[in-house]
Amino acid sequence: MESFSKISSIIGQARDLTIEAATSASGSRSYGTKVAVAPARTSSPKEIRRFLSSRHDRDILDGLRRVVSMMSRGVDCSEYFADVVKNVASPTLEIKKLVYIYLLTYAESEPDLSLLSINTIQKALTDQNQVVRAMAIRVMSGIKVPVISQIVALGIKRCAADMSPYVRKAAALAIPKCYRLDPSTQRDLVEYVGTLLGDKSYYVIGAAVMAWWEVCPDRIDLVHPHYRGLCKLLIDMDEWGQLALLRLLTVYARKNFPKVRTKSVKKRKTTSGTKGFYSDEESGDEQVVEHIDPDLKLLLDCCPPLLQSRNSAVILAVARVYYHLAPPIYLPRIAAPLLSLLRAPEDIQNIALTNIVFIALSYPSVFAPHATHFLVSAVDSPQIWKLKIEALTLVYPYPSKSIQSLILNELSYYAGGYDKELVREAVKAIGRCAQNNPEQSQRCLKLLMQHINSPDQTLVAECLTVIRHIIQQHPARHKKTVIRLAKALDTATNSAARASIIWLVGEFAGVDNGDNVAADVLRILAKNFTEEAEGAKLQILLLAAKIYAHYLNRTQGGFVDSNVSEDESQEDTHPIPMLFNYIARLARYDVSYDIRDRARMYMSLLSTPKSSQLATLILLAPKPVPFAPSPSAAVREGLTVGSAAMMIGKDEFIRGYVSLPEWVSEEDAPSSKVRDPVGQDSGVYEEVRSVDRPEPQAAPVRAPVSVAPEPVAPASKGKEANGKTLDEWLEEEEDEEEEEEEDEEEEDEDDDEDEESEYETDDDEEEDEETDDEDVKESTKMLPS
Amino acid sequence: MAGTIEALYIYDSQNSPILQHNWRHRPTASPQEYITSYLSHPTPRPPLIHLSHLSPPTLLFNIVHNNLTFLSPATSEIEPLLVLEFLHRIADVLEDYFGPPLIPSKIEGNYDIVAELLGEMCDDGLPFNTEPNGLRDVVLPPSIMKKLLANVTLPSGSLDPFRAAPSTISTIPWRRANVKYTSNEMYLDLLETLHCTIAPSGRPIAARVTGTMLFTSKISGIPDMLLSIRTPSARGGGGVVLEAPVFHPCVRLSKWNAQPGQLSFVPPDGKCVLASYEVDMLPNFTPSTASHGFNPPVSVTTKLLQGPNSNEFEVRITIPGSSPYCSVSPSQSVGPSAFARIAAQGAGAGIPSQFLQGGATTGSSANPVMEDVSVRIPLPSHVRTVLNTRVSKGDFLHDTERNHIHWRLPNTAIVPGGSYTFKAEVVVKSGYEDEGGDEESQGGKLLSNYDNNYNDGSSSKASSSEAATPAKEKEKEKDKKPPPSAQAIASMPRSVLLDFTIRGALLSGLKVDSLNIVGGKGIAESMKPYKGVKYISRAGDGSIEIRC
Repeated sequence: MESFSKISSIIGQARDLTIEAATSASGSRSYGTKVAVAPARTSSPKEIRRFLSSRHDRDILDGLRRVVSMMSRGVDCSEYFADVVKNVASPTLEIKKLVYIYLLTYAESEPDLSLLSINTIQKALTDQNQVVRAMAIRVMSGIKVPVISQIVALGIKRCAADMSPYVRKAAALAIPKCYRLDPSTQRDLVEYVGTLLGDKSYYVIGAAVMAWWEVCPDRIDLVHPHYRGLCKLLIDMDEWGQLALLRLLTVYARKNFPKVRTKSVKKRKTTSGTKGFYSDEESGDEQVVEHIDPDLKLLLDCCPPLLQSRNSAVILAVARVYYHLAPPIYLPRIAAPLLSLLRAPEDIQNIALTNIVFIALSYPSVFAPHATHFLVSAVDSPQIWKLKIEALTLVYPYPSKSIQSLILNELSYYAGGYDKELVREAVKAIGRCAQNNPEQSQRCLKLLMQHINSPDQTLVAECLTVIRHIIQQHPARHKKTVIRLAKALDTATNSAARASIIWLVGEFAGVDNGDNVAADVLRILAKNFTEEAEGAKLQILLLAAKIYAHYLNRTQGGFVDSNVSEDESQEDTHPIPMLFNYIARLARYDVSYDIRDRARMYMSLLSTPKSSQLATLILLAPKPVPFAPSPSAAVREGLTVGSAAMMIGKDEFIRGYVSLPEWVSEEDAPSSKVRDPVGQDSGVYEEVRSVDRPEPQAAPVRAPVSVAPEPVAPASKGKEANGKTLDEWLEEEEDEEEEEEEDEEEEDEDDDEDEESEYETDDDEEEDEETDDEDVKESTKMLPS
Repeated sequence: MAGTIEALYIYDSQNSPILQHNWRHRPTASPQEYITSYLSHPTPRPPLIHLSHLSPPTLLFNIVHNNLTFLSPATSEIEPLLVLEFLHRIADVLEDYFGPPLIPSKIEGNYDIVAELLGEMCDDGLPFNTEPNGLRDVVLPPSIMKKLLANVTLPSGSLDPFRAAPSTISTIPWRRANVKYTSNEMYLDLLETLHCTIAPSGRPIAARVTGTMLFTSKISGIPDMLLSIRTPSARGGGGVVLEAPVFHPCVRLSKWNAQPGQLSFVPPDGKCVLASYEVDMLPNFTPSTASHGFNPPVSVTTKLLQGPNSNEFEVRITIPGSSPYCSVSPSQSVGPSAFARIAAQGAGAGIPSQFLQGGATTGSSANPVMEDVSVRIPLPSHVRTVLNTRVSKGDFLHDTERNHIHWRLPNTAIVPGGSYTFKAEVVVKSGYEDEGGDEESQGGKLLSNYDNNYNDGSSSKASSSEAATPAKEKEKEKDKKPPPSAQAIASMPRSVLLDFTIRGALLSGLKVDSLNIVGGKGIAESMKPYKGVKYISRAGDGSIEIRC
């Protein structure tokens, strides 16, 4: 929801005051007395002391206001400690409040003097006025003097049983303060937390949950008897309480309910996931959710009303619950509410979009019906449009054909823009669309080819890189495209673009047994070799080497066998060796040592036709299909929805971030009896607790525990170019490190042959493992069905 | 994932700190350092900045409100939206207490109240009480504080009578206790913003209306209200669906979910945003169907590459002849004060064009008026200026800082069938061409070797090889060029943004059926509060984009 003040400013058109005018207006409007106008700046310490020691409330109040003003401005006011604190006993509420504000800040610096005030504050705990009682417990716990911890604990005990929910709430919030003051009071405090968690007033529970988080976040047992009540109270609580409780319930669910299983797991693996899970459901009758714990269902069913909260954080917290706990059929519910956050101010939009993109990485089809929300507007900031473009490419394969073509047209429109970065991103996005939906790759290619002759060199270079990727994914289909690209060499001036084209031509140098344009392209390029840029030169050299290697393979009798041992033939007069020699010679005397080096290497590789087998291995190795992952995928994978760590990305360590615990296994899950309402022996809970695995506390262990997308088959993952099925993804949890290495290589779209061939073999190995493991996997993970 | 809000720093428009408040923060840097780190990020700044150079590394949340910068550093994990929502809430509460707009002097004059508010809103880093009404029960608003101070030389302890029974805290968190008014009134403002993207062909490819309901209540006691909203049913079969609605906590969700369109609530005292929603204006989007049933109330078309040098563009605003939003005398009093009495008209539901047929004669809802039509034309960054501008109506301004043209129509010109044009020639920055040339200097030397026609197409190539050519000559050279060149295409605007305001009608066709007090406590039988409803539709901040 848009912020209140913005709405009212739009409606209240009369408010055409400029800021300056308003400033002067408010200046004259403020209090008639001279004290009111920014008092502190002028008054001397002596004057303030005089005020504070006055007999009149008005003067004392005035003095206190000056002190508080200075504090707010960041001035150190500890010198007035004695003068301020002696007013703590004042019966006037306003004075009391200001003294308390002062005490909270400075008590630490003067522990002895602050002790003098404790007695008065303690008396206030029994005041008739609930506001005074609440304030007293708040201040008492906020005075950071450890010696009073016992008194504070007693005060909390008293207030936790207070009549007024307002006071009980304050007491709940005092618990963490007391705990930090003196951790040895934990025993008592935990007991109070337990009591307050069972409070009847929704007003109190939110605060109790916050206290639970700070004092005993591993005491799941405290929650058991109240679990069902908490779920039901969720709707009535205030937004901040809902946030704390949703956090608690998410962790609770992970630790107490076994993962929701669906029978379709097996099925989905075989259908290779080309459709979203919607269509899966239609096709597979066995899809029915087989077992969902009724208590978990209770939580999931209590959440939807919160999706209509005005607080964006609450909506996102519900999204987190669904993303991390619910079976996929629940997810479409969160799409529209999440998108409603795009109506909010830009800062909230930014965070909402980041999370939407993160969720879309695993469940793109959820957002497909709302794809037009992601259209980029001319006024979007770079952060926003980047995320929108990413979202567009992720949902691209799922909506109707007309929307798909709309998305492509939009991307193509952005690609024609004048913001260089937007152009670059848009072109990359078209590439990702082609990759996510191979049927449409022709269409994407056509769009990209339109831009090839554009005067904007950034656009051309970016287009070519993407075209190269698309072609590599389906080389056979795109022979013609390569010829067209070769023609583009006449006009393309950007060296990166040229390099890219030349490399592609080289890749196709072997087709049709040498009957192709490669040699001719080389001939034309050779003419102006010396005037090319360095990147292009390298590629020309490589092209020459490749063509020559192909030539050798052909003339030496097809595929080179290791035992082919023909003598060096006579000085070759065929144009290809001549071209190679010519270019190699030019390169040897190039200014760039890199090019000289490379030339020397190729020359020695290809010097003897005998050794062309090695050259073939190095130069003509099949290239793996490049895969451009969605930009957010690598940075955010496995983090928790709605966390700051997710916003910042994996590369930075955020203190206090703990990833969600793993699902409890079926055997370890406590029986649902523990959640039956009170009256039973609490010993049961203790026993159950011992089975629970303790949560790793505040340790920097967030990386490998990729809890996020696995629980249910991610809709598109299976279809992405690395063709992973559910089980492979599951497996990655285990050998995460290996996977990470691979990821790096995947991103590495370089055409470095050595590395890539290595990667290729790795991949094979892994696939073997995977097939081996499949059965095992099934028996371990899916066993208790 | 616990997380606490640690501190708040507020800076004025000169970026000097005017307020700091610590809830649970061991500052990792001085206020100056925070703002410096914040400013070191180029605008627009992300709402969450990670300061890894501090020890411990700090997350810096920030919002900007009315030229005031709110920063909140945090040293450990916390939900970003929690902090941002809280910061927005602080801004709202301060504005509620001191009156909009929130400006530094208001904070500086009331540090004590601000400190009390911040202490009450957040206890030890955990949000405690953020409802403006709830806060009014415990923190004195400035007006009463003023009274306290104005009473000179009162003996000690005599201030208490001035407090309005502080021990009573309302049981409804969002409504303060003991509300009393002599004249009871309530107002409902419905504000809709049209978000629309129009393809170069003139066809809308996405159109969405986002709506907000602002409720102002000045009613004694605890009134229980019922607001019924009618959504038009006719438009391409299906009715208008209020999508993704979000509500103020006072709205009973169960009632809404059982009977969409019925809002049952006990309103907070004063103003609040009751709900917001959105409506998809193109529910059955298909590219084939030409008649999609929705067109923005003003149509804007563009023509590019005009004139002998093909460096001109033309923007045309057309107000449809059948526009329901223009009356013959637009100057009649439909200002902000003119609230329409709720009149339950018989017809009037349906698509926007039917508003006028509602038949009711009183109030502006029967006589909607369009105002403030203006167009913004963002120019490519390498366009230096525009020449030979001709505008058939209204005035325009070239904002060089953001490099766009803002063209406004006078309200008197908004009559049915009105059509106005704006024409201009663009002049490309000479610096850009050099820059462009530098960029391509590597490839540039190849040019002579490839017999292409690229050289003819753009002067930037030429400039790279002959860097010494004076800028003016190049411009002339460029001006001479006959057909649209790539350079010319690149210097044309890519889109046009349309703004307008319509008073008295909602684009979605939504209507308020009734707004009644159906129960509650402390309400006299005889009380007949004044009710007012106002409709505003608008487009602004680039919400309508016409691609060209």
